[in-house]
Amino acid sequence: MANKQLFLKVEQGRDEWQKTFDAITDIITIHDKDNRIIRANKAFFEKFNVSAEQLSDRKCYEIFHDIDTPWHNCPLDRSIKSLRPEIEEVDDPHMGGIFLVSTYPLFDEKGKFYGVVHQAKDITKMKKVEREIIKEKEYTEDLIETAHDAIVCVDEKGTINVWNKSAEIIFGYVKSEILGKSISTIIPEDILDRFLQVSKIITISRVIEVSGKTKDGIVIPVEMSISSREIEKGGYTFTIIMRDITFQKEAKKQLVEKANELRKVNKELEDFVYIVSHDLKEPLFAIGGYTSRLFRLYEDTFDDKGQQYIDRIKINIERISQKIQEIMEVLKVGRVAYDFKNNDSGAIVTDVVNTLESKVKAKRIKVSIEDNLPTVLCDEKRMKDVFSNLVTNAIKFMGNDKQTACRGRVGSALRRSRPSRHRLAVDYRRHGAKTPHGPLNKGKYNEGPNRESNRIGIGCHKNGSYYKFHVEDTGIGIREEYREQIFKVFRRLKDVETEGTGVGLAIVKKIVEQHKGKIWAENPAGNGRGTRFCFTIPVTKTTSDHHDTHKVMAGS
Amino acid sequence: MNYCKENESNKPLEEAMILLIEDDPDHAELIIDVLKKENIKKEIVLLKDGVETRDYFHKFDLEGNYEICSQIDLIILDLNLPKLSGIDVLKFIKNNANFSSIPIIILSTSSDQETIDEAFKIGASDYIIKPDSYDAFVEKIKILKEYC
Repeated sequence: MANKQLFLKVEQGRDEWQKTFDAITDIITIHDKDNRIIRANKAFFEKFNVSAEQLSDRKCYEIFHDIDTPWHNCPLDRSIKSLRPEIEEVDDPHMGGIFLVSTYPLFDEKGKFYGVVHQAKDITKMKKVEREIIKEKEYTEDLIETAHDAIVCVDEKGTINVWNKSAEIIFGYVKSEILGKSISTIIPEDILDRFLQVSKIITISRVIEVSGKTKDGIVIPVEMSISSREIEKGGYTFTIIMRDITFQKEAKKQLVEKANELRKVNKELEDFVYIVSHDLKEPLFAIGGYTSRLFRLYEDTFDDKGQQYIDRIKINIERISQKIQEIMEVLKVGRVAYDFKNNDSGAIVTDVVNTLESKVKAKRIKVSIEDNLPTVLCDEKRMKDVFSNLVTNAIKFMGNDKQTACRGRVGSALRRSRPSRHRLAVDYRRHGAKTPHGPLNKGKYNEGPNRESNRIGIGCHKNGSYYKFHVEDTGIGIREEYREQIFKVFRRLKDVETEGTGVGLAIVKKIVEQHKGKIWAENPAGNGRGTRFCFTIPVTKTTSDHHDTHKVMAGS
Repeated sequence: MNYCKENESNKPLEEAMILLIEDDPDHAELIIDVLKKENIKKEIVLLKDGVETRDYFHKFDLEGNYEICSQIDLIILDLNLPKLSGIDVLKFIKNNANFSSIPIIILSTSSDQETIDEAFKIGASDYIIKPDSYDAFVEKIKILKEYC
């Protein structure tokens, strides 16, 4: 009985062992000294598709590796020789992956070696992940190493643990010299301490400028940004990206110097021109005076020819003095101090148009001013000059008055040939499709002219950070090739004589530029007729709130 | 040049006179010519620069003779003067109580608003910009009649 019970117990133990043996997913085999498999678990049979009977005929390497000789670095063979546990990573396509093979020698009750336990664990997936991580790491290291900026990592104490090639180039230290040293070696400590504190909480995305110190002790300007990363147990690691901006700083400095120099030279030149112009007025005054005197004293002895010459002299003196005056006026615009205040542009425009009322009436021009013109930061007097010049210009070239619009070279050089009244009427209808309802439009400027009347429109759009004013007319337009030249004072005086307009537009341009704006001329109809002068004035904080609700008239 | 008497002596002048301070001889001649045309029949004394003008007035101060000052109806002053500027001359005369009552008209080619403002601030009675046209100048100079 006792034997039977013992037998049953052994059987039960054997059964439990076999089940456990088979339940393990690792491939477990027991080999004898001659590389024959004497036992194998279920995972083995499933993997290699052999039956237990076939095992005695074949060597283990024939089954595991499908080869005739043992695997070149087989731990099993090593265990047979060393009689100690061995471990090896085996990558064999026949096994279908990478296996970690561990072997344990077996000894009988007398201590005699008789076999080996062979455990093969499939680590293919693990290895794949590991390889990816390594690849990723190499890629990152490569990226850091080849970056144009210096990339340096430090721990919380500021000890450097990453140092790339650019850092080496910028600061002069090679990796072996600097790793393990404090970041204060290259960056002043106080600045960095402050940033390491802040960086723990937030990443500093903005770039700051600090002074760096190279190995040679040279202080260089450096642009720096820091980001932090939490590592285990609440610790932090910091990545500092730096760029040597010595060149940029130097270039910027040179640019500023050059700009200042240019400004100075320009100022000197303007001063010179101003003084020369002024000095020229004195002899001119004398020439004019003596010419008059000469004529008055010897009037009786002059024949027609003499009279004609005197007239020509007078006319030319007049021309020279006009030019001198114009040059001085343009220069003066840049010389005088501007009184920038918040001014209602609507009031300025109304005032200017009222001043020009008689001219407007004489030409039967309809002037419309948009409602709600903004309050802008400007010099009131100068802004009046701008509008006065633009409106006067528009009146002058409105094309209704043949004598003014096409006088002398003006008509041929600057303005297109005059369109017929019919064409003008068409133009007007296009422009006047939406009825402007400016204050002037309701009253005095409406009377008289019929539908074919000429029109001047003044308005403003708010466009982001600036106001765009415009003064447009339905006149005969400006040829495209002259649209830039008309603003150039000296060029214009020489090449495109425009009698009557003087240097008005050059002055206007200068005033607008003094207001940090731009000016240009457009042809709104796109057919050459009509001109729209546009200029910008920046929206300032103090003025923007006045005009947020401004509605721009669509008709303009 | 009939009406022009240069500052040749320090003897008191009997008649009322106009002091013209102008360095440019051409301008001086033309101004005198216009004054003549406008029938301003005063003796005109021409001073050619700022220092000469200062010395002219200093002499009265030294002699304590201010009688002559009452005979000066008007001073016509150019601003662009050598040695001592017109503005300095203006200051010098206006700051001396003995002469400050004499009206001074500025006659200058300078049209700078700052210069004009400064001249009036110091005490100029009028400011005529020498226009580039002589004929326009003749019209302007008629203003001077009010002072004579």
